Amino acid sequence: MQTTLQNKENNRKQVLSLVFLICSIVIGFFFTLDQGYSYIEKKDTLDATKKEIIEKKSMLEALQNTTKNIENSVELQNDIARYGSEFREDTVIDSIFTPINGVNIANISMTKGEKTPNGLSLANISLSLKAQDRATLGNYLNYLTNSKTNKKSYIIKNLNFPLDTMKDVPVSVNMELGMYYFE
Amino acid sequence: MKTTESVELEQETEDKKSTPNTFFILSATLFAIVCAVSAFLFFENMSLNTSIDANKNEITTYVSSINKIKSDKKVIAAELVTNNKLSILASIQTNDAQKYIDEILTVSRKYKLIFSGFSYANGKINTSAVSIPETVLFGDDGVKKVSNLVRDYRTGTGLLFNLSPVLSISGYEQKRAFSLEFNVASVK
Repeated sequence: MQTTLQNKENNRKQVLSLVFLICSIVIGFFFTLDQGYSYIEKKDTLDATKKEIIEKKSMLEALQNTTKNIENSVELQNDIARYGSEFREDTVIDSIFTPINGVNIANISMTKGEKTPNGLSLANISLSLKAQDRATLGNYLNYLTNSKTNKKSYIIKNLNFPLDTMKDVPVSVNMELGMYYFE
Repeated sequence: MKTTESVELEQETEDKKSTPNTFFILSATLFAIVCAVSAFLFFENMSLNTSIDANKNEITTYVSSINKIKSDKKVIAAELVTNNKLSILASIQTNDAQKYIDEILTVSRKYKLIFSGFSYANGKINTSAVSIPETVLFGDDGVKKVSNLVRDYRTGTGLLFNLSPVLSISGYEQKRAFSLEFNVASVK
């Protein structure tokens, strides 16, 4: 009698065990595994969004600093005017046709040029002029490239003139200048 | 006294009893673990979803603030100018033609050569030169000055220019003419 009862109990336990096992496998395969993959994916997404937040935050801070600097720094304002202002013919003309004694500018022609890899555009300005002597030419070249009184700074792309080391006579100069601007 | 057979029978019966129990415990434990892990992952994923959504909202806020600031062209220009100022200044300095004119005049004085014409482009300077000897004595040839100039450029260091090969010289001993091409040392 006891053996029969025990057998019944054992059978019941075996059936329950099988049910647990099958349920474990089914839940594990169809739910837990999926949740696990989803967890890994979401963790990665969370990390990526955290990184993006840091990146955007620092970008915003940098921009806010730049905005502050534009308002407060005279040097930056001058630099923007010099290299990052828009292309304006009147500004170029005012900058190049400066009253320097002994320099007569004959011709000027401008093209807007192309955008450079650094994000700024580079305009081309061709110039022909007459300078009364080499020193005057030197002063004018310094004015074009490196002068605080000039609102623009130009790059001398090419320059030619009939140099004569024997005598310092008036010279006709042709040159091409590059000018950075922002478009 | 139990016989060996009866002991073995008892052991077998005990084993038969314990095997379903072990199996039941193991499968129940496995089930409990699977359920617990599933529940943990489910709630953790829900929490992660909330965090991700919050982060995405934060990013959107930052992006809209950035776009608002960037809509001002001056800010972009300022950024570009700040980032590229050094390279722009370097480019202006590299193409400082006035410095090169001065150097050509110095070379002319040093070697007592007559230069005519000056052309600068892409870091190259071209000029024509004439060499006249100091005296009109026999054997005093203008080519000596050319030789001195070339020697100094071939053996000297720290010079502003590199001299391209001087492969032809024309004229006669009292007047030697040749062309010179200098390359600015920092521009390749």
